[in-house]
Amino acid sequence: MKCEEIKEYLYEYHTLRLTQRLFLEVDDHLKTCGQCQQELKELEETINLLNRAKPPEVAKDFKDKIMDRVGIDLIPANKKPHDTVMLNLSPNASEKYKDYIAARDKVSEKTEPKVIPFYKKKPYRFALQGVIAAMVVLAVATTIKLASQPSREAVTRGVRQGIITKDACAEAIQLYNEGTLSRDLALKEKLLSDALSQRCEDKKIQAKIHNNLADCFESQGKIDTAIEEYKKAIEIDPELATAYISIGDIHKKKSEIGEAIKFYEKGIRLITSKLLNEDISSDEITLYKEELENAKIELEKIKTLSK
Amino acid sequence: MAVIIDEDYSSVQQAGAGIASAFEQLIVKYQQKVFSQCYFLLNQNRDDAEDAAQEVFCNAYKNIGSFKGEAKFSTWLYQVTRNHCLNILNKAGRDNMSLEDCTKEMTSNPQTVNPVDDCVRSKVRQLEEQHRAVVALVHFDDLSYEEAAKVLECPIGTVRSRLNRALEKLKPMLQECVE
Repeated sequence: MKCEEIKEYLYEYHTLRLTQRLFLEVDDHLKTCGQCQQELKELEETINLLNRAKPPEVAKDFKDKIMDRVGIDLIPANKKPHDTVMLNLSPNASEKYKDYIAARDKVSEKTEPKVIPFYKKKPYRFALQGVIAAMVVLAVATTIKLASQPSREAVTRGVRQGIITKDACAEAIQLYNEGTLSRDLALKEKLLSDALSQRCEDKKIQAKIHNNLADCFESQGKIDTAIEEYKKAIEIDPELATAYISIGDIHKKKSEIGEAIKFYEKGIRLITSKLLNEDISSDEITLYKEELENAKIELEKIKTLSK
Repeated sequence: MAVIIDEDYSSVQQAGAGIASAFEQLIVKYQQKVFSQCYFLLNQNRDDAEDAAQEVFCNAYKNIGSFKGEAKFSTWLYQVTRNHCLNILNKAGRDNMSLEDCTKEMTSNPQTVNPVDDCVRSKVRQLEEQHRAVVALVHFDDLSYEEAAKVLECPIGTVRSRLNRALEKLKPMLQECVE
């Protein structure tokens, strides 16, 4: 690399953000280039001074202030008072939970009489609406202030009854990500197995844990166990494209060309459809595009070989 | 191939379902980073930054249901923060309150008694918004270039060049503080 390029990477070099290869390349250059050494020294001085502009710590009551506001100001207008404390239903709520609320509301609709009371008729309606709105706001505020504890208990009950799968998934994800990032294969296997044993009911998460456990077995050379785990992942989430491609890779290594083609093609179809529908996160798009290109190359290779 | 799940997936889902403790966890985890962003974008005024950061979390709570998981939660939260601060700056502009005025107000704000620190802060304030943003995200909040690029909706190369440009500009400016 030339000095101009090295200069571009000096901040990342100083803050240890470079890949090992680039780091060593910059490091080698610096050993012999006085001009770049001077640049680095000046950059370090600038950074040391810049650090003096570090922002202050956030106030200690910051969180409490927000929780006070969230509790009172931000109750969605379309929610019933008894829903507002624990149940602000959103598209992110679990399906079971939504079904539970829908079923409960349906029951209460059925039991309500269909007679139109006098206060729903003009001219009473408008006057009463104002009074009722004020009473509802007051009731909601009081409910939140005074009854937050029972509501939390109600949530816990919901979790216990399986209405909301709460801590199990949080635990599972933490173990899963720790396991996935671990380089120690034995530790990785343990953390991922522990993640599975949390019994998180979210199928997408379950499938990903099986997938990564399979990947771990594959790295340990336990190929048959790996295939079993990949297949479990697919059984739980038939759209987990990466599992198909991984099985394709294994079949290719075992020279089982027919099977390899079958799994590669399925994986490629799924990834293409995911990319077209933008049904994935931006992080996954980058990952999948790379995966797709590699799979296409492998598929072409084995198709050529099998001819 | 192994895949990663957003570490906040579960908390976001629970917060979306109205579970207060889950939202509290997200506040505790991101309060300093959101505040830091507001602090740098809003001319390092502590009170303004804290008000803005609170608004950001309230807006995030209101809209958490519309968060579809297309990006990591942290990226989404940074974007909400950035948009909120830019709106404040635009509004200040519309109300004829120029950045220069803000800077004058800041000089009289006795945030610190150290003249070098004050000087460094005032020099950082003089950077363009896009340079301040990248310094705050990458240097002070320690975001990766990739995540900063997502927040700023620009290529990774642009993050690198903006940060280098910002540091290049700061080099002579910060030296003035110690001469």
